[in-house]
Order: sequence, then structure tokens, then C-alpha cells
Amino acid sequence: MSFINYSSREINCKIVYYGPGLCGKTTNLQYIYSKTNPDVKGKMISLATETERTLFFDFLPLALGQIRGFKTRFHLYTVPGQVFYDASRKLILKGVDGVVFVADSQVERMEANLESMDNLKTNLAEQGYDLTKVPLVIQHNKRDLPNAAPLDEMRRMLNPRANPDFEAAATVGRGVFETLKSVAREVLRDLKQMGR
Amino acid sequence: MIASCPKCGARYRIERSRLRPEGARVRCSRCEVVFRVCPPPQQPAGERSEAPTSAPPEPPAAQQQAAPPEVVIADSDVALGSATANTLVAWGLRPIVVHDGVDAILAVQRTLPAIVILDAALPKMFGFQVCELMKRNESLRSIRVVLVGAIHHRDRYRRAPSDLYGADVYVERQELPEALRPILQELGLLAGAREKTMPPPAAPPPVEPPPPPAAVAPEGRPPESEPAAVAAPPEPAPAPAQEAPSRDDSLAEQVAAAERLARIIVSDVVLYNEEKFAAAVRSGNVVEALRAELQEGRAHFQQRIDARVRESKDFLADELLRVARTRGSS
Repeated sequence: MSFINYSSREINCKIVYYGPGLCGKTTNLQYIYSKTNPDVKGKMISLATETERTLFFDFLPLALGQIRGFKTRFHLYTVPGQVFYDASRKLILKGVDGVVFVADSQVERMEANLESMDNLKTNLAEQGYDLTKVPLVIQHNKRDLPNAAPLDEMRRMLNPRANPDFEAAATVGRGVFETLKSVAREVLRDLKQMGR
Repeated sequence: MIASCPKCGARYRIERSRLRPEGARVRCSRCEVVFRVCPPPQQPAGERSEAPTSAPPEPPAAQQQAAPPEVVIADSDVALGSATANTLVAWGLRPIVVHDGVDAILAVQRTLPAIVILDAALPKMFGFQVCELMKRNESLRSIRVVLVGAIHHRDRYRRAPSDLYGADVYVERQELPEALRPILQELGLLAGAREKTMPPPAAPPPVEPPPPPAAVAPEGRPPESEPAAVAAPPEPAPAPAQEAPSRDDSLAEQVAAAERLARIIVSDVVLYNEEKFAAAVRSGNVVEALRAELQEGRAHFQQRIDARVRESKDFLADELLRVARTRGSS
């Protein structure tokens, strides 16, 4: 549900980074924030409760062009990943336009990946979204770790519909912008289709 | 009492006796953000009008000498925002006007105003999202929120404010700024206002019960009280009897699901508390040492797993011990 600001002629799109705890969602956002031109990005906001944290920032990529004379502004969010912070995840998913699912490639986190993907599907459905229709990109993060599961196996478990996916090592920036560009492309395509 | 920083989450022990009824400003030593700490509401509401603090109450004259209360106005319409601000200045208040949701959150975090007037359809981040985030944050929760909606959705928005994203009061755009007068008067923010209090702040959005308070404070800041034991919620009535074979299968599936959820919860707890877990494994008391960290997981576990399955064993403690044994032997 993108928000259109007619006075500034901007379409605001919300992209949520989803995934299990400590999978690298915040690392993705921090890397994007550090590498984005200060002139086109907003402020990074961190909202913390006693134990969980939400990060948010917005930026306006100028190179992605316009839709019917409107610029597109992207708002990036992360959700708290621990399984028990579901209320926050539901809240942050409201009005989402695109999702990046950050999977932790470590073998011992496969179950947490699957739980988080199921939870994403459930929480989207509660708001009337269908996971198969929402722009979704999957990032297989932590590929640089020695205990990373084989990519084929991760794809089989987490990406049966062959959504765009990328290998990443977010701490060094590998795959971070490829993922973001891909989800932005998917969101824009979705918007253009809705406009027809 | 324990207060936590709205920005970085650092927790501080505050002597309740040093807090005035209207609260106090505290600077976080870690991130330097200033935030307001308010005393918890008194139990017997209505019996006493003033909190029994050791500090003597300020005389009314002294209160009037203080700086005018700050009000954050977040309105996408620049003209309406300015008009509302001008009115509030005339009423003796200090408005801070912003025009999008992001700036609204930043202004609220920075100034900790007495009240926030939020346009529901703010750019960048909707006003109701700002409201929900504020009401989920224990340091911002006590700030009153007036949510301003559009005239066109009169029927849709005519609900109790507490049902609507946790806002304290709801007004329509056409009613601004005059509709704010009784609200500000009730809060005691207008000169000559009667000392009357608004209803207590709305509870956070009723998505799920809030997690129990973390019982373990950072090093050097012991918790104020012992963590409460996890109280089991009222047990639902047992499901009607089903055919025996299918019930057995179903129970086995539920036990498997419970074990799976326990593995995920414990995995999260261990990942986020690596050092503490390692120390507890060495000293052989993991369940006791991570009791507070497991509490939120237990609440979530109780919500998702049927009581009959939960009663069979302590899934979380068993899983924690299993992981501890695995780590200890490696």
C-alpha cells in the first residue's frame, strides 16, 4: 500500500527486511545507509523497547526514474527477529510494498529460517496480503561462514517459487545492494501494474 | 523503578521518591538522548489527588513560572499546522511543528512533549504508525496522543480512541484547533485550567499481551524486585473427545510442534545471550541463569502451544539443558 504525496509528487514505498534473529537485517540497513548519498537519504531512526529494536530510514533513489511524473521514495524497515516479538513484526508489516527475507545460511539456523518464513506468510495473510503476490526477494546471508548450508538446499526450503534470490555477506556489503535493487525493481513493477 | 532509554534501550534504576508527579527528565549516559520518566500510576485511583512523594509539591505559582509546556504538532498540511501552532502559542503553549511522520518521531524523542497532535495521514510514516510505536515504547507511552483524522471517514473512525492505534483522544480535522482546548484543559496545560486528569494512557495495541518485564538489569544495576513467576493463563476447556487414533496422532504432532518451537526460542535466547549462556554452562545453572531471558519465550510458547501439551514437560528448560549439554561436551 504505497502512499502518494501529491504536494511533493512522490510515491512512498515501504520495504521491510524480515528474517530470524541475528540473520543480518540490521547489518543490511546499516550498510545501505552508510553507502547512500547523504543528499538523498533521510535520518536513520532506531526505536528500542527494553529488549527489542526497530530500525527505520528512508531514501529517495534518483536513478530509478519516475512513474507518471512521480518520484519514488523508499522507506526501509527491519523487524525484531526473535520468534517471541511477533506483535512488533505485525505492526511493522502494515502497509508493506515489498519484503526482503534475509535468511541465515548457518545450518543450525535453518529451523529459525523456516519459522520466520511461515511467520511472514501468516502475518501478511492477517493483513490481507498473499505472500505469493507481494514483491519478495530472498537473501541468503552469511555465505562466508564455514558452517553455511548448501545454497541448493536453502533454495529448496525457502524459495520454492523461485523468487529473485541472492547470496550475501552483509558485513562486507556483498550482495546487499543487489538485493535492494532487485526488491525495488519488483516493487516498481508491481506499482506500474496496479496503475494500469 | 527501572526506566529504559527510548533510543538505545539502556536501563536505569530511578529512585521513585525523587520523581515528581509530572515526571523528570533523564539523560542517557550511553547515547545522550534526554527522555522523560514518569512515576507509575497510583493504585487506588481517585482516593488521593497527588502522589505521595518525599519531595514537597511545587506551589501553583512556581508551576506557572516554568517554561510553557511543549506540544508537537505533526501535520502534513503546512498551513493548518501553522494555524494550529499560532493558536497554541496564544494559549500559552510552545508548539513544535513538523510535517512528516519521521520528523514527528524524532521530535517526540528529542523533546518529550506533554502531548502530540498527530495527523493520521502523515507522509513518510503514517500518524497512526507513529502513535502505535510510541505506545509500544515504555518511555514514550505516557505522552498523550491526539490523532487527527479526515472528515470523510467519519463513520470508519468513530470508534473509541483506545481501539484506534492506542491514541488517547481522537479529533477530526475540521474541528481543529478548537477541539484541542478541552483536551489541553483536562491535561492542565492551559492557564486557568482545572486540575483534572485525563483517563490513563491507553494500553498498547492489543495485538498480543505485552512481554513480561525483563527481570535482569545490566551489570551493576540489579532489578528492583524478584522476577515474578510465570503465571499460567486460565486453561481453556479441554477439547471435545475425538476418535482415539486421530487424537493420538494429533497429540504427537502437537508435541513435535512444541519441541520445534522450543528449539527456535532457545536458539534465539542463546544467540542473543552468548556470554551469559557460556558462563552459565560453565557454572552448571543454565535454567536459573537464563530464567529472565526465557520469560518472553515462555509467554510466546504458552500462546501457541496447547495447555495439555505444555503440561507434559518443561519444553524450554529441557531444550536449554540439551543445548547446554551439547555445548559443554564440545
